[in-house]
Amino acid sequence: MEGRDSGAHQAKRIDVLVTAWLVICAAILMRLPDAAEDWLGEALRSTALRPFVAMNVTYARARTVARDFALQRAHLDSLLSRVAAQRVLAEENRQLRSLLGLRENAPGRYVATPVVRSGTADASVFRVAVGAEDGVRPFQAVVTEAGLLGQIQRVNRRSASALDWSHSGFRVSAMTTDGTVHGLVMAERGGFREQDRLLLAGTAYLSAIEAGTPLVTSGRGGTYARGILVGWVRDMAATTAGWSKSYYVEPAVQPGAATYALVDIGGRQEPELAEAAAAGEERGLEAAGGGAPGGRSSR
Amino acid sequence: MAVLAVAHLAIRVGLGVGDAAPDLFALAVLFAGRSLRVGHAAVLGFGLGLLQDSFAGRDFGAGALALTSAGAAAAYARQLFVGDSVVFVAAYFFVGKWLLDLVGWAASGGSEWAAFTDRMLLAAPLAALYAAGAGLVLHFVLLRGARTP
Repeated sequence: MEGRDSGAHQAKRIDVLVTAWLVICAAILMRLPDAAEDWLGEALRSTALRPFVAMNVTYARARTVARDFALQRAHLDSLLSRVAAQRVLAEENRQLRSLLGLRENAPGRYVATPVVRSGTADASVFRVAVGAEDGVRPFQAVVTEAGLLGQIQRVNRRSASALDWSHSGFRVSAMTTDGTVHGLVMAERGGFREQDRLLLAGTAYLSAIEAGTPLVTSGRGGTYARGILVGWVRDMAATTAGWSKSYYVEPAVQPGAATYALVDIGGRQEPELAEAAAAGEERGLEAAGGGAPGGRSSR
Repeated sequence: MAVLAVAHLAIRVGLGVGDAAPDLFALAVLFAGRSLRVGHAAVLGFGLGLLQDSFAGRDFGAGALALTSAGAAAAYARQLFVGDSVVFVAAYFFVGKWLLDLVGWAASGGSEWAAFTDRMLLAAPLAALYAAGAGLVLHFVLLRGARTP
């Protein structure tokens, strides 16, 4: 009897020790550096979780093919008609460029990927099934046919994590389509995900944007390509007397509805120009513009 | 438990259903707490938490901490509370899931009162209610399965 009590007592002690040890391990995991977290996460995703990730990719592709076939057909028809209508414009543009001695714009390159959401607490983060092997790099834009969805964050060999526009850390430099008003678009979280919206901040005080005006990426900083649709201005949010205005923006893409996306892996700019542009953003645009007039001092 | 864990991954990750599906990891750990020893339930919670964290964009380890604590607490609770009624089982899953979310939220650095009210007083109770409903159905399906000769 005494021996049984002693055995039960010892089992309880082991249980307490195991639990305490696991809690400590979990606490250590929370303090791991980003690189170690990435490595561990990728190791799990590419081993134990690989069948589920593959299932998601297959399912997303099948769903897109099956459910959205009519929609895709309509998009294709619409794009073909638009391309046909713009052929003359493209030729005119090419001739004008050659007259002005401007170099050709390299076309953008995209890789298609399903959007994988795992239902974890951080609902603004999703994964894409393309990685470094496909040319994906951190901070590249993730877009859908409707517009800008988010930005790549961490890249592994065959997958990457990205955040959508509803993430508190999301920022994009945007402008009106005529390029007259520029500002910084950021997320404003609502009480519920459905209430999340975008905010265009830092526009000039004397500028006025009408409701319904489309906003596109301005390309400043070289992170996003110019001209990706971000959303439409809804109404004014606030004014800072005599200084700036901010506007609420209706996002072009609803993150929850995005099941398939494209990652813009670049190709528009020569790498050295992109680097120069990025450096110029920090150093007053002098490097990119070759000492453009009005640029801030690099000191 | 293994079936619940696989179903969780297949539905939430494989089919991309996300939060629209009940948290079957939580249910697996809470079910484990009713039958396994404290240490074993904690190990199961830690393993499932690691799998969950591998999809989280940040706060790696928060899920492992929450599910480990939930597993151990559920197994301890078995020594204190015993019951098989609908109300008891529903309350067990509801409280278990809500506490799990609370620990996860605290572990991921939650501190703002506004975020607490939004997340823990609005979203988490709804998720707990959903999990309790699913847990109740599973409990009685499993019970019926066990009683069938």
